[in-house]
Amino acid sequence: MIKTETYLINGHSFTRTWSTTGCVMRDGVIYDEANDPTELGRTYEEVADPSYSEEATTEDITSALEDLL
Amino acid sequence: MNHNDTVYIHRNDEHGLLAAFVSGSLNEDILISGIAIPSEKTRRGFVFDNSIDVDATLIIKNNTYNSPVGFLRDAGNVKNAKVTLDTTNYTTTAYNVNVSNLFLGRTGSNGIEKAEVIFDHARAITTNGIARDNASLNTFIFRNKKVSTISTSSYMFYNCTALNTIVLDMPGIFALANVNSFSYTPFGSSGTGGTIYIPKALYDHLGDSSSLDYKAATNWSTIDGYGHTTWAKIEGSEYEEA
Repeated sequence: MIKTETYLINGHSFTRTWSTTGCVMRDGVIYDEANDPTELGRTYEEVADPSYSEEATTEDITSALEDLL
Repeated sequence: MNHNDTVYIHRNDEHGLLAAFVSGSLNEDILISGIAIPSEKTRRGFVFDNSIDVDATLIIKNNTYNSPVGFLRDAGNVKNAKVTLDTTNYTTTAYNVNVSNLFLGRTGSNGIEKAEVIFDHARAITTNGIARDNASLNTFIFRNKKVSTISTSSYMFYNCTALNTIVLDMPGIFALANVNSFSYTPFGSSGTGGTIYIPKALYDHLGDSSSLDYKAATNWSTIDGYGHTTWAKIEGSEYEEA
C-alpha cells in the first residue's frame, strides 16, 4: 500500500510518499521513499524492494554476522 | 609491509592476495584488475583494512564481480582515495554496481578526507552506506559521464559529519533514493552547510521545476529545503576535469 503525508520545511509544503511493503517508483526510478514539493503533485507506483531477496544464502548470513562483530 | 612503487594486482583470485595490504603504508597507485572474485567473503575485500596509510589511486577494472564492497573499509589513514570502477566486464546484474560501505568508517573516523569515485558504464548503483559513519570525509566526488540516470540506495552519507563538499559530475540528475542519505551531515535538517557542485547544464535549470532541476528533484528538493545547501557549477571550479 502506498501512503503519503505532508509536512512543512521552512514554510514550504512537502509530500512524503512511501510503500508499506516495498519501494515507490516514478519514471522508472525506484526510491526507498519519495519526498517532493507538494505543489508538483507527483504520484508513484508501488514496486518490490530491488535489494530484497527471499532466500538468504549462507554467505549472506555469514556476512551479516561479520557486520555485527 | 610498505609499498613505495606502483602496485599491480592482476588476475588473482586468492583471498590472501586481496588481503595483502592490511598493514604498513602505501604511497603509490594501485591497479587491481582481472580479478575473478568468487565469493561474498572475498569480495568484501579488506584490501586496506584497519591500519594502512594510503595516498593513492585505486583502479578496479576488468574484474568479473560487480561488488567491490568495503574495499576501503576501516582504512587507517587514507587521505585521498580515488577509485575508478570500470564495470565493463562485470557479469552479475549488468550495469548494477554494488559499492556499499566502500568508504565506511565504522570506528567513527577512518582518515579518508577526499574520495573520488568514477563509474564507467554503470547505470544503477547500490550505494547503501557508501561512506556511512565516516567522520573524516569532507569531499566526495562522483563522476559518470556515460549515462544520464543513476539510481542509488539509502544511507549514502549518513553520519558523515564533516562532509561539506559533494561533486555530482554526470549529465542527469543523480537519483537520491532516500533523504536519510544526508542525515547527520552538514546538508541535513540541522546541518551547518555545504556545497554541491553540478554541471553547468544542470545548474542553469535550478529553480525551473524541469526534470533537470535538482531543487525540484525527488528527495533533493527536501535537502534543498533544509536551507543548508549551496549549489555551484563544476565548470570553472577546482573540481573541473582538465
